Amino acid sequence: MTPSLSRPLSREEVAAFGAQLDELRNRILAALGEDDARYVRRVRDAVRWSELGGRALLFAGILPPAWVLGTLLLGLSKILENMELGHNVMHGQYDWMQDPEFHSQTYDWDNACSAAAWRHSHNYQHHTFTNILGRDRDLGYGFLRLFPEQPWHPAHLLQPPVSLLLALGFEWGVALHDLELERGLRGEKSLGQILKELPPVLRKARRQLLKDYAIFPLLAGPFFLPVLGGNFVANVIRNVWAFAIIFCGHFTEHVETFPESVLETETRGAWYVRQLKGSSNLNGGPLFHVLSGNLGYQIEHHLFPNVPANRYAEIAVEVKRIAGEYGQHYNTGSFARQLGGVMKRILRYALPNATPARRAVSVIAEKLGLVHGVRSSSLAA
Amino acid sequence: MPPRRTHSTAANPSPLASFAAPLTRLLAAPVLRPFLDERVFDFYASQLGAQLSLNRILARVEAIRPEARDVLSFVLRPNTNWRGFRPGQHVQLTVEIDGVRHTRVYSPSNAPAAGGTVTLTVKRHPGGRVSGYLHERVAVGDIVELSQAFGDFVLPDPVPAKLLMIAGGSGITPLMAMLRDLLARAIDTDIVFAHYAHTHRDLIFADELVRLGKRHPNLHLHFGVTAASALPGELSGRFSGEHLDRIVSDPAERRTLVCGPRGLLDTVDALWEDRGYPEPPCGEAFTPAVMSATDTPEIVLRFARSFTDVRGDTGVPLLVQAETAGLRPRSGCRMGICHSCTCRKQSGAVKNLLSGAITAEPDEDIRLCISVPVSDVTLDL
Repeated sequence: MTPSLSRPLSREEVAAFGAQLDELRNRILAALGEDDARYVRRVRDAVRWSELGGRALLFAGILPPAWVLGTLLLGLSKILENMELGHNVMHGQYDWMQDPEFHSQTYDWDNACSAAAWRHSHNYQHHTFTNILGRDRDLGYGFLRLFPEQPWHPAHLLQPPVSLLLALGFEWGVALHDLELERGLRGEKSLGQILKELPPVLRKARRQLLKDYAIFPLLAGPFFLPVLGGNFVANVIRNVWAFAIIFCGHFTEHVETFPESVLETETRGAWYVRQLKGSSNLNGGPLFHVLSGNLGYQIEHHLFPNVPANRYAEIAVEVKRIAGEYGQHYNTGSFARQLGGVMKRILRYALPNATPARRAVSVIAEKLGLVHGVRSSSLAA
Repeated sequence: MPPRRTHSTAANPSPLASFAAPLTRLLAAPVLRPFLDERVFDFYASQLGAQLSLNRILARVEAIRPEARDVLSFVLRPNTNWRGFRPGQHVQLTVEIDGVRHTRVYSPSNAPAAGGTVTLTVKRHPGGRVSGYLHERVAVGDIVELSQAFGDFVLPDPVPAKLLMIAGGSGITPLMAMLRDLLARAIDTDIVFAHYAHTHRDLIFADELVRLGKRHPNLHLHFGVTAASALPGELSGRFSGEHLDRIVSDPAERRTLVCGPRGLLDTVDALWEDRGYPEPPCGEAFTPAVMSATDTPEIVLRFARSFTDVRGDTGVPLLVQAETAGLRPRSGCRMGICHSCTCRKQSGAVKNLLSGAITAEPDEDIRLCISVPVSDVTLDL
C-alpha cells in the first residue's frame, strides 16, 4: 500500500473528527444566502459574456489576432463553465436556491459528457467510493495504472502516450466513462447492456459536435474554417486544463487508496478520513481557484461535495486546523509540484512493481538510512 | 431602506425591449427550439429587457394598493408567455428572498378582461416569509415570476341564473375575480354575496363591494364579522343555517360557491347535506401557508404521482419508506452527498438528518435519503 503520512486514529477519534466536520458543514450551510446566490450568478455572467466575446472574435477569425484572442476567450469560457459553474451546480451545491437555472437535476454543461452520466459516475460513484480500489472507477479511469496496488498489465507500458491523448480529448474520455467499457472488456458487463446505455451518450455527443463543428462554423459563412479551428482548439485547451486539475485531485504523491473491505464497517467519520487521505489540494491565488472550479480545494470538495465552492477557501482554514489536531496529513502543494507527482505516477506505474531483487535493494537502503521508512496505510479500526 | 414606490411612473418598456420581444417570439419558433438552450437564451434576452424570456412568465409590479388591514393588492403585468386565467383559478408566485426562491399559490382577484394584468391580493400572515416579503420589500417596477394559471374552481359555464357566493377572509380573492368578471360582462345573474372576516378592518374589498352593490341591482351584499360586534343589517359570528335563511330564501335553487378556511367549507357542506339540497356546494379551502411538525407519530405519506398513500414513520428516511411502499425512486450514495434522490416535496414538514433542520416550505426540493417526515408529507413521486 502507499505509505501513509497520517497517524492511525482510534474509533473514538474518528467519530470526534467526523463530528467536528459535520458541525463545520452545518455552520456553513446555515449561513448560505444572497451573497452565495450572487456569486454563482456572477460566474454565470462571466461564462456567458466570455463565450459571446470569444465566438464574436472567432467570427472575425480571418484576422490572426482576433482568432488567437477569440480561441483563448472561448477556451476560458468553457473552462469556467465546466469547472466553476457546471461541475459545482451539478453537484447540487446551489440546489438550496431552488432556482431551476442552478439546479443539479436540470443543469447540463458544455461538455461531451451528458449531465445524467456525469451525476452517476462522478457524484455518486466517485464521491461515495473515493479511492477504493475496485469501486472508484476514477482511479485510473479503468485503463491507467497509478498506484502499486493496481495489477500491472503489459498494456500499461503505453500509458504515458495514452495519458497525453486522454488530456487532449478529456471530455470524450469522460463522456465514455459511465459506459464502463473496461468492464465490458473483462466480461463483467454485457455488450447488450452497453448498447442499451449508448443512445444518450451519442445524443449528447452529437449535440456537442453539431454545435461547435457545424452550427457555429456555418453561421460564420465564409469564415467556416477559422471558427471550426478555433472551437476545436478551445475545446482542447479546456480538456488539457481539466485533465491537469482533476488528476492533481487524487493522483498526487501522497494520496492513499483503500481496499474494498473498508466499506464493511465504515462510519461517517471514517468516510471523512478516507476523503481527506484520498484527496490533494493545490495552492494558488483566487483567480487560479475560480478557473479550477475551486478543485484546488479538492479535500474540502470531497468532504463537502454539495457545499457551494465559493465557501471552500474559508472552510479550508478550519479543515487544515482540524486535520492537524488529529495528526492527519493535509496534502497540499503548488500546482507544479502536485502535477509533477501525477506525472511521476503515470511513468512509474507504467512499469510493474519492484521485483524481489529491487525490493531487497530498497530494504538495504532503508536499513542504511539512505531513505526513511514510513508507516503503511491503514484506516483505524 | 428607500421609500417604496407604490405607483407606476414610467410604464413604458425600453425601446430595446420592444424590439427584442418579437425577436424572442421568432427564436422561440418550434423549428429553432432544439438548438436553443433555454438558460443561455434567457440570459442574453434578460440583458435586452428584464421581462424577456423564452418560457418563463416574468411579471412587472405595476401598482400596489392597500385593501384592508394587513392586505395589499399587487397589480402585475406578465410578459407574453402568460396565457391568461379563468376567474377562480390560481397561479404560483415565486420570489427570491435572501438567495432562495419561494413559491406560493394565490388566486387572482381581478377580472381577466382587465388589460392583461393579474392582481394578487395578499394578506400578511404573522411570521409569513413570502407574505411578509411582499408587504415589506416588493416595490413597483420589481419583477416577480408566475406560473400559468391552473385549478378547476371556476364559474360554471353557462353561468347559472342564481348564485350564492360565501367568502371567508382572504378566501374572497377567487370569488372577487368571478364577481368582477360577471359584472364586467354585464351578465344578469342574481348574485347573493356573503363576505366574512374577523373585524370590519379585515373585510377585504369592502368599499369596492359596496360601490358595486349600489351600481348593480342584481348583486345582494352581506357582510359578516366573527370577532367584533356586527352593525345593524350585518351578520354576526360564523356562517350558520340561521345566516343562510337570512340572506337567501331559495338556497336549493342556487349554485353555491364557497372559498375560505376549512371550517367554513365543512359547515357549508354539513348544512347542505343536512337539509338535503340537491346541488352540492362547490368549495375551496385555502391550505395554511406553513405546515408544522406534528407530535403524533400517526402520519401519512402521499406519493402523488403514484397515487399511493402509506402510513409514515417519523424515524425512517423517506427514501427507504418510498422503497418499502414499492416505489423505485432514483438514488445513489444514501448519505446526502450525491443529490441523486432529490425530489420535489409538495407539502409537509421534513427533518434533515444531517443538520437537524426542519423545513416546511411547500414545493421545495429535498434529498429523500437524509429526510425523515415530521408531519403528513406529499412527494412528487
